[in-house]
Amino acid sequence: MIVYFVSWLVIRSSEKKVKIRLFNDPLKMSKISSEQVRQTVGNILKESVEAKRNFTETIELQINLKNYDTKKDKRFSGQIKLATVTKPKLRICIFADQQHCDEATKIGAEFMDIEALKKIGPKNKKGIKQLAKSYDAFLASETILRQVPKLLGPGLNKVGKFPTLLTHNEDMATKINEVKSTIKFQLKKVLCLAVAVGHVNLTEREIATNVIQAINFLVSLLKKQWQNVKTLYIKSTMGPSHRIY
Amino acid sequence: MSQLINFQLKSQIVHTVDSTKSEDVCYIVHMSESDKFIACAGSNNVIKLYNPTTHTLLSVLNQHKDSIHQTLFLNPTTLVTCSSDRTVKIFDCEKSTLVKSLNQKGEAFTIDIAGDLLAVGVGSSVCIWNLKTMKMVKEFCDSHTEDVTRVLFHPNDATKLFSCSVDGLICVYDLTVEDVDEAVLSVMNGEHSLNTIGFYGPSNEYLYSLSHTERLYTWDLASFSRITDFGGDLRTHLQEKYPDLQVNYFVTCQYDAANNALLLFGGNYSGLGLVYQVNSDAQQPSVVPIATLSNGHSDIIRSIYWNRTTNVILSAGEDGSLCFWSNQINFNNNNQSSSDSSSGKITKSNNARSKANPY
Repeated sequence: MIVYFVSWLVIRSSEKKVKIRLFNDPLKMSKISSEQVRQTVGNILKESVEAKRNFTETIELQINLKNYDTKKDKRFSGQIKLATVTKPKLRICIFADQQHCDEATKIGAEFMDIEALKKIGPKNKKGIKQLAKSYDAFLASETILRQVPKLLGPGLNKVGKFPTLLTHNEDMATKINEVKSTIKFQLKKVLCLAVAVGHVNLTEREIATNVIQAINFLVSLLKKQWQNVKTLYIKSTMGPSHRIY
Repeated sequence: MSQLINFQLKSQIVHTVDSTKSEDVCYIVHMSESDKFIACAGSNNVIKLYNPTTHTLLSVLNQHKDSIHQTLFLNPTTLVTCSSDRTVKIFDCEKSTLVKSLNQKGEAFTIDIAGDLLAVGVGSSVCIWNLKTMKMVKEFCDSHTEDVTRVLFHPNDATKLFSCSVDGLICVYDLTVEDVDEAVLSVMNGEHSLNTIGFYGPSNEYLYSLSHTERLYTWDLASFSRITDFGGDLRTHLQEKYPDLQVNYFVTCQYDAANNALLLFGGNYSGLGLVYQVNSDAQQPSVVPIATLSNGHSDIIRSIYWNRTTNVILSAGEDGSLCFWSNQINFNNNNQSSSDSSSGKITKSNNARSKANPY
């Protein structure tokens, strides 16, 4: 569960600004050091152990922008694939052709073949709703993906769960992990957004990598790059927020 | 790298009026051209009409109350526009009067016209209007979950409508089917939040999509399947391959029918414009730079169009200026003349190398 609750209890971490080189673009300098992010993540993890909750806390990155006008600037939305799985509990179902059925059985992934989909039927709104509710995301083999609108109508579009393509060249387990580590972001009318970059059961290093990866990608989509970033915070679901920029 | 054509800035229109507030520069959000007019929609909700040959200001249309998203010429003198003020407006450019304002249920982000039919992307739904009766005839509200960013009728078959959205999906509708639930012919999952789509190929049998995360995908419309994704973030790939040409974003694509080529327009945040040629062959997809537009803009280019009749590129952007670009050489058989004219940028390497055709 992600709670969009911003605690203004700001604990300023050491504002050591070390420039590090990123990718192979010499112009793209980061304004925050990975060392600093790791320290902050370490503190968050410590706090979450001290105040143990009955669920796995999500770690989210909160971004406040400036010098950005939602009325006239380009839309800021999309998705990022992170290095480590952020949503391990994501329930995924594969609409599988024969080859993918076999592969799914082997790795123990949930799947449905074309017969099972036909059984639901395009007019069965209840059945489609039920199916959409039972899973968080869907993958589909190419031949089946093409038939999904005919087989299930707009039911999956309506809930934003239209299947993603799974080709035979891709490894099924890798693809499932990819879906589980992809995060979506979208800026609407207000200049702040939050993305779930991990959870407290990951290691400090894994979370820090995700945080930096997410920040760098988001900044690369902004016209004024770091000058568009007002503040950055990371926090666990129930913990206080920590400012990192 | 094959040689690049360096387009020269021929003329420039400064669109912004209010120079007193230098902080608040008016962007040109969208631009379109007919034989008689160039329409520029500014971020100040005002549309200005210019003469395409003399580049003088002809009139100002200020009926919109909120952000304008697209301008489209129905014929050389009739302009259709859509806006966040929940209206689609039709203007007579010659008299510079408002002909009709069509109220929508939500923000109108995109429009397209085929015959008497007008398609409008309204919020997350797609509406079809009949321009003869000025009535809404159809509404698809279940196909997308987020804002629709582009609607397009297929140029060869106006009964097929395409829409793309921030939810990452491209939906294809068969307008001959009465039941709106059954009318969705196909759905292509572009995964990333989509900015725009467009057709290409000799009979428009392919589709390209550009995402807000700067990814280019191509699609085969015979099977509604993805041809290539160009290996993910295209900016990173191009940056590695052509480190001298920094690219931060892409604007749109354009199909050049005469040369059967798909062109991709991009640029960097400091104003340089770039033109690429896209080869979407599934086995060996490639994106190769073919031209640069330098020393014109100082900010992001938002709207760009290559007029193949006049061989002039029109571009407009967030610096509030509209630029006209030309090169003296013929784009096709330029091997002979290009080295002595404008492509001063990489002349040294040109002389050393055998002159490769940009195609």
